[in-house]
Amino acid sequence: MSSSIASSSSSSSSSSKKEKKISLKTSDGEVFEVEEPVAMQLEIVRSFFADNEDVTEQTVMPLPNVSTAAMHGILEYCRAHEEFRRRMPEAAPEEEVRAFEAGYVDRKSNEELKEMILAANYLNISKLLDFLTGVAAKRIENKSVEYVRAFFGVENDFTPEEEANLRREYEWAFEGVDED
Amino acid sequence: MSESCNSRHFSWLMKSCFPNPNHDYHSSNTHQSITTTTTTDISSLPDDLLLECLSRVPSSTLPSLSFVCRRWSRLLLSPSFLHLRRHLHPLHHSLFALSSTTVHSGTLHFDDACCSWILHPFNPSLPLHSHAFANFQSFLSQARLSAIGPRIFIMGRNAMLRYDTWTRILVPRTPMLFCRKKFASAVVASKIYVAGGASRPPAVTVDEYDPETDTWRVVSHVPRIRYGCIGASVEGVFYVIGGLKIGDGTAGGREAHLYASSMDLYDVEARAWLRSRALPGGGCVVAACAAMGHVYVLANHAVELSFWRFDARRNGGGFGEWSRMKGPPLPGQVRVDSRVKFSCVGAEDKVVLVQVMGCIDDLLRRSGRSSRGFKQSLVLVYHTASGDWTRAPDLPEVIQRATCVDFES
Repeated sequence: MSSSIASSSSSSSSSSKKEKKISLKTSDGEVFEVEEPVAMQLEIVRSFFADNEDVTEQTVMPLPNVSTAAMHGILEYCRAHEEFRRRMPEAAPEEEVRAFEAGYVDRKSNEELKEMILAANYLNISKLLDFLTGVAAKRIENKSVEYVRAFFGVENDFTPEEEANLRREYEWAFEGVDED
Repeated sequence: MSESCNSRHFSWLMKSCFPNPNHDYHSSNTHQSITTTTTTDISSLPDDLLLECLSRVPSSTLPSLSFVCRRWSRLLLSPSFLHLRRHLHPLHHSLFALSSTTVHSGTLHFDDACCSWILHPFNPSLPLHSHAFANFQSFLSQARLSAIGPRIFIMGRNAMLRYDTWTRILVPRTPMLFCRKKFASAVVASKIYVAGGASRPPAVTVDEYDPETDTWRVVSHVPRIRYGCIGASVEGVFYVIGGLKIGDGTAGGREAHLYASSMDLYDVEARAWLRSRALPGGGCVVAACAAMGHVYVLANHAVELSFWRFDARRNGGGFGEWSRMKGPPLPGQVRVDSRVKFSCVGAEDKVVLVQVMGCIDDLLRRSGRSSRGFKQSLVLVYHTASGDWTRAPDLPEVIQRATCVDFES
């Protein structure tokens, strides 16, 4: 249990004037001061604090697999969801959540999306991972083979002969379906 | 690169590397390798994360994805993909009917109330170089079907195909060890078992097919060689049901009846035959399947049909008990012979009876149609929970002399 830090600070000032922050350090050395409820959405952080009773508020938790850029994206998502939760603890405002999520991923390139999937997996935020892999799936949906290869930088490792056979037999799969 | 490159394992390994966060963390090169990959896109994700993405793609897009590269193709065929798919979109049972006279197949989904048939051309323009497919229709007309998850194995006398209901791709597979015709087949623990049927010389074995390795092997010898038998499986037992005794016509009627109304039970795991069982009222098994721990049997007696249930739950206490169930709503005098044929398919908690051949005029008049020559199309559904029969949409006309199987997708 996270008795030592979590409860000692919150019990002394139960309705705290100043929100408790948790420091997270990314791979490139930047330290993020994150509000506790937001940081606790990162399962890796939550279990770290739950497992280690001797950590203090000054503890800076290193996250060597998360870049600063990915961290910005992750925190934007988690903060937005924390905000939704705070405003409507019973049920999230679905319309708003959807609008936020749509705008949120529109701005992300495939490369950024990949970085965030890796980060969300590493930080073990299952909700975000579900969402991001769903976004990747959406980007793959209705695309031709050629399009997928080009768009996602996949190396075609079929031999020219195999490729020719596939193209002959499954012509439909290689023609652009949805150029988006 | 490695076969089982799993990011989550790596994460937990990493997590255990934080013994003392008060010390400066020295990130080593190996730890960096996850973020600094050579290719910089979604395809550079480790297998498990790429699978998470691919398993969320709608079925309609899956066909082309297996042509993207070898790795994607391998992942789409992996058991993990099926597992994730099952988890994300609960898989539904559907009935697959393959026409042996036209190059069509149809699928009947049971998940919604107003189910209807979806037709797909069953396109043989595939790389089938083998002579076995030279006469594709002849191959189909004698084939038996078994499904493992969303993949249907079409076993013909000397050739086999695997049909993927997600990608609609047909791939030739290793044919059976013997050129069987009218044999029994069933799936036990993701492997296919076949027995009986006519072949030269007669196949006296039970053969097992492993789809992972695409290989067949003999696992046992049958107590009776049944021709025209039906296969089913419940709790690890392969049931070889009905059929006729092959060989000399002198054996007489008594023994022929014995074959037609009985079934042999092979325990796959124990590799042993259990005591054979026979229908209490005799008769001739015309269709059979397994559903909800039971084997359901449609039997024909000279002038009537009867519908039976065999309790196949081995730890249920009632193992081996036969019960006569409410029969299908067919006219009393229907004679099932060479002109009328049924196929019986277990689909989760339902037993689906498909009339795959013949013409039932009486039934036609009852249902208020006036035209004669109502052909091979009736689909009746028995609900094991309520014990009632309902009628499902008829088999589409283009599907003739169908072979049917239940699959998950």
